[in-house]
Amino acid sequence: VISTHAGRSSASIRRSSTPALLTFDSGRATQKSRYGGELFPAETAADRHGTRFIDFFQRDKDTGAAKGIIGIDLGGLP
Amino acid sequence: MITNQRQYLITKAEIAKFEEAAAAARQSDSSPGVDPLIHKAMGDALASQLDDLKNDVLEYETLRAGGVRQRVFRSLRELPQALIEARIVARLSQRELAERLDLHEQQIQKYEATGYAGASLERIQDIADELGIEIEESVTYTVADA
Repeated sequence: VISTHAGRSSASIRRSSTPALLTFDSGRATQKSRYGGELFPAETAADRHGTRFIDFFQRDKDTGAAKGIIGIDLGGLP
Repeated sequence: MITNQRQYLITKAEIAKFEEAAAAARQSDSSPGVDPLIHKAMGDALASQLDDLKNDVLEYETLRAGGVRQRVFRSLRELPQALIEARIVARLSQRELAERLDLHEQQIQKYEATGYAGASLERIQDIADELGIEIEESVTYTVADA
């Protein structure tokens, strides 16, 4: 889940010229083939649409209980 | 893959939430303070995940309804999925299968969650027998170079 402040994330993505990160075709096939994984946008500064993924990935599929996830601030990476 | 009723109900509840979020996202072309590029990506991402969840539910419902009778697999690596599917098609819960084999429910849950990692061949055979799986498969050997 990409969770960064609005503006910075989009600028970073634009700079890196990686439209694949914003392509969600057929089960994120492009992302998976290029990066071996997938990323979902979750703007913390935005409305509740983005927080859907934060909620979703914290839900244990087997029990429905909350589970911990690790947040990485992409803007803070070297 | 959904393997039991609990996961099924949880997934259905997630679908309802994703549908609400996706519908809300479609209603606006922008979000305050969010780059339009990211706004569109959020909507696409929601729709994409929603598709995944719906496919999972459809797959499970089809199996439960007996809509799948046979699979063609090309590798033993796909055997665990066959065992899981066969149980769902037989409408046996993980607990019911475990009871038939005199095992704990958690053991079947663990097998299925790990793709039957660590299960002995004998155990796999017992489960396949209990589920009434028939395998008609040709095995091709690789001949060593002379």
